[in-house]
Amino acid sequence: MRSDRSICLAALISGLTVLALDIFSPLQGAVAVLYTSTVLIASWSNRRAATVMAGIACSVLTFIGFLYSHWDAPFGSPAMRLGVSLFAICMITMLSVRHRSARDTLAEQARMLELTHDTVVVRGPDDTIQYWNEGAEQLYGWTRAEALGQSAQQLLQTQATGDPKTVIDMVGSWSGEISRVRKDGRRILLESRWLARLDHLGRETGIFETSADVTQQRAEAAARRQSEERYHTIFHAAGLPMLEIDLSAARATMAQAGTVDIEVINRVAAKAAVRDANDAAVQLFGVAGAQGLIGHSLLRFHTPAAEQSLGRLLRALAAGQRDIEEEAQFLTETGALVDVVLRLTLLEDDDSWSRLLMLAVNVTERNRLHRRMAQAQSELTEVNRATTLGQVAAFIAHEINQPLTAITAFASSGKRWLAREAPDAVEVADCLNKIALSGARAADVVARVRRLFRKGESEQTELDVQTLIRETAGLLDLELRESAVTLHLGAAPDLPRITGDRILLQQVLVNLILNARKAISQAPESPRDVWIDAFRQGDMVTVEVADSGTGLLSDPREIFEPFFSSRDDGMGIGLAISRSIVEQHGGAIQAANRAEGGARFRFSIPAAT
Amino acid sequence: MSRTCLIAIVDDDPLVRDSIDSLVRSEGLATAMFAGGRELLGFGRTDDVGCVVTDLNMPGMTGLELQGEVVKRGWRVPIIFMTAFPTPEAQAQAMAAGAMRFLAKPVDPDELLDAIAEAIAR
Repeated sequence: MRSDRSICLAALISGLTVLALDIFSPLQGAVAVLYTSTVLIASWSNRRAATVMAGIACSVLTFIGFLYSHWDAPFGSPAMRLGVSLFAICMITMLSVRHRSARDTLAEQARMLELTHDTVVVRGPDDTIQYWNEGAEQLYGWTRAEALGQSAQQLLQTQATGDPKTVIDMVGSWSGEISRVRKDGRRILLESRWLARLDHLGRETGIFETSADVTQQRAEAAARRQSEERYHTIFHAAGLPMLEIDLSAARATMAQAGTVDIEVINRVAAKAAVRDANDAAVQLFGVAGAQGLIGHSLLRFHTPAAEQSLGRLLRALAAGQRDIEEEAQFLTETGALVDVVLRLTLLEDDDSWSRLLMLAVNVTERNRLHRRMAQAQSELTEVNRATTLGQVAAFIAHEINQPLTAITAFASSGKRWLAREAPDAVEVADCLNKIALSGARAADVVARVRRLFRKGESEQTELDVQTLIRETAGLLDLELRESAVTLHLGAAPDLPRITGDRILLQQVLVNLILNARKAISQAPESPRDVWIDAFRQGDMVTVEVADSGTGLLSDPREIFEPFFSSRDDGMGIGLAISRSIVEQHGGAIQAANRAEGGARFRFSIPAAT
Repeated sequence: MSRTCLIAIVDDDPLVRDSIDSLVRSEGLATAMFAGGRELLGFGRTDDVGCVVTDLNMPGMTGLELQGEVVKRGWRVPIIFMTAFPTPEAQAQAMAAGAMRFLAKPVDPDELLDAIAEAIAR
């Protein structure tokens, strides 16, 4: 505003000066033409009206000067000069006004160039940068001050496909993709439009260009393309049957029908077109090639089971699930029934169902093996039962055969001792004694086996483990004291009760304790302790019998086998029978050597529920 | 037989062991008793042993393992097996390894003595 005011002042002074010159100077000529300078000064202001006002004022002043000087003889040469002056003032005023509006438009355009996010760069004929907008500053990284006057090629290292220069020379413009280097050294991809700047004679004075960064866009497109290619490769190279299915028509049918019944499923299935299929899928369905599947529906391979599966698949899809797994059965072209696990995945994240990936894993063989395994399992259970019985029978045979062997041999040798020339009464007596002993042992075995197999009388009751241990220990108290063995009882408090046959479980415990005692007696040097403990392990109650004896000399797993016996007194009912009893109760028995010496037996019985 | 001929009796069951011992001695033969195969292998007078009568199923070392060890050591002594649980497999294995006889328990005393007599006659 202040500058406006000083411009007005300057214009006024200039106008008055010209008036003074016009009136008082002796100059004979069109002095009033000098008013044009006043109009020009006024035109510097920001207001168009000021220029126009100055033009009018100058015209009036010209008239005043004319009337003052030439009132006496207004016609002739002075009038001509007046006309010339007025014409000049008029022209200058008009030109100034037009120039003003042209300059305003240019300034506006320049501001717009600044505002745009695209880069705008103007290059001179020698490729120097003449204009560099804010978009260019942001994209390339150089400020305007840094860029102006530089060689564009040196600064930006432009690489273009083809030859833009030739095209510009021929048609005046070029557009295409270029790559340039930013200030930070990164090369970027740009979509660029170049326009030749021409002077009024049509000569090229440089290039005006605008560019946009498409690096990320191109990278994304390339990644998409690569991903699609990779998918394609996997699809066709995979050993698993894969199909691409178009369910868009099927979706429309379903949407129309509203419900999903068998009839709808059949109509939908007929419209489920295979878009693509890999070799494994071709093999699975037994068709000649992918063309046997592509464009068709899978309806012709359907079985009733497949229809039900398809119904479930469609309902799941309609419910918005994106990954669905379902087992189905198909009838292949070759007439074979195949079990497949179908896995359906929506490829496009839209609701049109136009691209679904269907993975069809052939599980026919797996299912067959499963069935066979289940059968084998049940057979094995049967065999196991028979084996256990066989083992028990073998155990009995062994246990009876031992004393029987002794009886037969002693009887025979007794006869021989008697038949000698000098009969040996001592030997005979020994034979008879041992026969009696062997007989008793055999009877004992029979009695124990009979007790064991009186199943009808076996009573399943809830038992307190601590009481069971205490009672059993009480039964053996005397025997243990005779062998100078100390029994240490320690059971965890709050043990759950177990369900079982008290007598049978007591037999197991007796067997383990007597085995422990025997192991101790075989190691005279070692301490003479037996520990009985009980604790809870998950749903099981475990009873542990540990001793300080010789420890196990053989494989701890073997000792539960029927003939495995290292005893010489025939006591106890045998570890094989112990295992059989524990297993009858749904438990397990194990043996191991203790690190401190001696053996440790553990059996677990499920806690009562 | 100028030298003492010992009949080695190997069985983990003392009653059985004693009975065989008595039977063999009643025939006028000398015996040596062992509770297991290892005891026999550790015996100092193996040269005097004319025949081994052994149980098949014993803890620590089975009769078949004992036989294997005897063969490995190049000890050429006839072996007679007795077992309360004869299986065709065990019998085949024992006979293949050169056993003299494979008897099922309860053993017929006369059969056993015949076998021993045959063994020491070799």
